[in-house]
Amino acid sequence: MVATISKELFIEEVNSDNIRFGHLNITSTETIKVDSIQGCIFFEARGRMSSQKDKIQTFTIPNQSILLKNENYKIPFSFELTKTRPDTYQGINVNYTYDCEIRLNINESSLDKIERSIFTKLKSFVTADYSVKASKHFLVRKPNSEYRVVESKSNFDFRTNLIIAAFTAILFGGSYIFFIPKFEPSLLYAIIGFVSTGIMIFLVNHFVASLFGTVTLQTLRDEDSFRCKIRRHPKMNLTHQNLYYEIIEKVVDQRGTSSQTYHERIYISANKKLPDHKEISIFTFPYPDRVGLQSHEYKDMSIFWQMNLDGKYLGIPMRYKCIFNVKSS
Amino acid sequence: MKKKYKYKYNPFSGVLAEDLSTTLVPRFDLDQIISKINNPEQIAIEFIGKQGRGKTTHLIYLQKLLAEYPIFLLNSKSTFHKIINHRSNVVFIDSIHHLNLFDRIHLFKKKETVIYTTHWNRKIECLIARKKYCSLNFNGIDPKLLKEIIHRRLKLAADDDSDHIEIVTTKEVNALIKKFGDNYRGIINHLYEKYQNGSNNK
Repeated sequence: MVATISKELFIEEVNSDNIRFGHLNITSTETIKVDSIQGCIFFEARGRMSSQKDKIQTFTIPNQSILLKNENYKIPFSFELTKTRPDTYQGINVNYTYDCEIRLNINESSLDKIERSIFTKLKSFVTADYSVKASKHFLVRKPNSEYRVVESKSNFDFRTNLIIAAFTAILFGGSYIFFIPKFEPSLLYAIIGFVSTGIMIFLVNHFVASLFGTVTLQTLRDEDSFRCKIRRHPKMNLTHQNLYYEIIEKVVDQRGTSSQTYHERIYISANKKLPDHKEISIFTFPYPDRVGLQSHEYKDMSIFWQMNLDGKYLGIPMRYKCIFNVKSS
Repeated sequence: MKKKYKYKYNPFSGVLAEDLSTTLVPRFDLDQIISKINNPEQIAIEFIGKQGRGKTTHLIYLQKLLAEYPIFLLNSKSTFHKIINHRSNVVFIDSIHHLNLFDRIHLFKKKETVIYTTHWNRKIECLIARKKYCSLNFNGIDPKLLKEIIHRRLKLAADDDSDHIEIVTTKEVNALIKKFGDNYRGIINHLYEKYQNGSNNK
């Protein structure tokens, strides 16, 4: 007779000192001898990119050497999670999950009793190497974890302004077409035109940024929030200045012969209005309620926090950005 | 596809290398390609097509079947000397356009068999290198093939407790083809969004 093995895996969600407890309920319709039972913890990053599955640790479970016919067994186990990967996260283009896999290696004498199948039965999964496995995802999140900003000081970057870029492209590109005589090959003429227009856009943006001087962001810790000290150069005369931060999920899809980068905003803070003509201003921002969004980078995926400063000059919107780091305590 | 099935993860997320053999539905007779590679005659085998048509997936899968030969997944930072100095005379190259023209010709001359993916055909380069050339085009889409790909992904990602596998209908497959043409990646990305936004994930 071929044995049908039913199993169910449980992992307790509450953990203390990073120790997890769980148990495997298992029943076999035939008596089966078991050589060993092993546990594996995997970290999985799956999404719109090359998915990753890393074995991060293994543990052994005291051996239940025999499964008697139609007996119900509850095999308890525990493991200490020595975590080096990001917390569980469900994003837009990527999910991080932790998977616990328990594998029963079947004794050679019982091999003829089990059905060898890779994918025919979902309930009684017997792998090609004659082991029975059960797996379950579990949450990894520090209890009562809090965000903590990394105290640092850095300059804002002036973001390329599309209106200025378009204006420069039309003005410079137009002059190039009208005043520079066309030469052969015309493809080279077009390439030089594109490249020089690109350089001109970069220079004009750089020049516009220099008109407003440097803007500095200093991040400071507070109790349940963080403070931002903004230092603006006296030349900074943008109107309607607003400060806010956003948390961005970045995924680089490098599958195939070309790559694509996805940026998704997963949180945006409330706006803070900056007073005009004041060199130093300090603002307090609360952290988001959602946990697990601390800054991190894992292979082709990252989450980063970005402070934005928006304003207007002669009615044209201008934007600054500055990346800062936030950890979880 | 109704949202009533449980999945361990989004079925349309990137496939793990270990699951490739379960999800890939070959477009060509792979045994024939393997016999060409193992044939003593020197040859360049080209997987040609636009982005998202399955060239790289087939290349990686084929290399897994012939694991004794190396695969180089090139990007803008890749260096040529690593490939050319590798002792294997059979090499798999993904995105050969990251090598310059002279390096490509040198590669075709030096290595006995080169299996590579490309957007543009390299026939002239192979002619210069006096290399026999075989091109496999990744154009077009077969609704049956697409249906099978979707079915395999759903089956692989299905929760262990699931009694039933979600079925995708021919009508749904045809609607996807009508919208995305032969862009498999576009279809998979569209389904990824649908399953990520829906309540299918646990």
